[in-house]
Amino acid sequence: MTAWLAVGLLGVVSYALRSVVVLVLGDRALPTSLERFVARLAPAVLAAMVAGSLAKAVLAGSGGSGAFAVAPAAAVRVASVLAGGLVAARTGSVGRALGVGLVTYLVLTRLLGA
Amino acid sequence: MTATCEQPCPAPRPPPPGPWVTARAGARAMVPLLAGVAPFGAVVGATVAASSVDPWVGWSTSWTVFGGTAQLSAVTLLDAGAPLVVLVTTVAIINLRLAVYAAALAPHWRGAPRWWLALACYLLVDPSYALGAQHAATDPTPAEHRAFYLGAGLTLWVGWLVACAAGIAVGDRITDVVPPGLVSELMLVSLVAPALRAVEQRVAIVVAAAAAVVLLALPLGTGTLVAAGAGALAATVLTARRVAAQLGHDDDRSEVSS
Repeated sequence: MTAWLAVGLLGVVSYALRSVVVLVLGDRALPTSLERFVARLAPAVLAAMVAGSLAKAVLAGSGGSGAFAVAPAAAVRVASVLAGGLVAARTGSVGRALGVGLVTYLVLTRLLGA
Repeated sequence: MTATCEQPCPAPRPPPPGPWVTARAGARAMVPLLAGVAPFGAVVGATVAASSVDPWVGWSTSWTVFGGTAQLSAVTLLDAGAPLVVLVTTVAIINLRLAVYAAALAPHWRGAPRWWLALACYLLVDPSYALGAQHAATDPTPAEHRAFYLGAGLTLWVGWLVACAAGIAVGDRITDVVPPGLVSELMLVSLVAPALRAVEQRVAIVVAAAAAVVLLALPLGTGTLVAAGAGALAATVLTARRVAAQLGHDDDRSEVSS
């Protein structure tokens, strides 16, 4: 019962975060400068999430060695994400980016045995 | 005497497609992102299956919390018997970015019916935000945007619930082929990369990515939000300087001409 209550509370909190800005604003507009700042902030959040995730993978792969060395698996992962990102930047296609990224990962993994 | 166009009259704009057509377009646009999201959902499900958390409780996070990273943290903390305040605080911090997404889309949702706003907010998460922002940038009518967003968001919701359930059912067999972390990274980078075309957003993205690496050690994922703030601030400062430089250049030219 406690777990169900906890999950219910998490749902309420998650929904509140999603809706508080929209419901408080209503039909009012944010100040223009704040609107522009938020428009820059939102993609920056996505970029920070990707960079943070890749950095964690690289750090996890380098282990505790004294000299910083990127494990092949982490290097393959970074290369795959960069390849997918390049395709997405050029084509704007999420499907192509995913496809190129996954193919890059599978090919490099085979080649390097990562 | 009837008025005539001095130049060839512009062709009349074609009538907008109906809401169902637009909603289906939104659903179709979400399908490639689902390909990236589904393995992550399977990982969430596999985590539930491997934990001591009741499978139904674990699966219910997919439609209550509706966010992969937050769900993983919630399941892990529930399994560890963490206090409720730690559980709620962790999920709140992880999901704080959703308030940013809501603020970014709010200008495009002005005037929408309350029921639509309530549902749209519920469906707001990284892929639905990104598709919604992309579609809003094409300058659709408000009705078109609402239909597109709902089609995309509901497709994501159903797909996510199915993926989480599949993960609980089959465990880690799905994730043996490709690391799910890679798939979610590919999905996120494919959502953000097109924004690199705009100089302002390019600065915000690059600075945020660099700062995220530096701030990795901050607890509970707060480094992500701080890094994003740093990126947005850098872009704001750069834009202000460019505008000031442009105004100074214009002043010089007007002085020379006078």
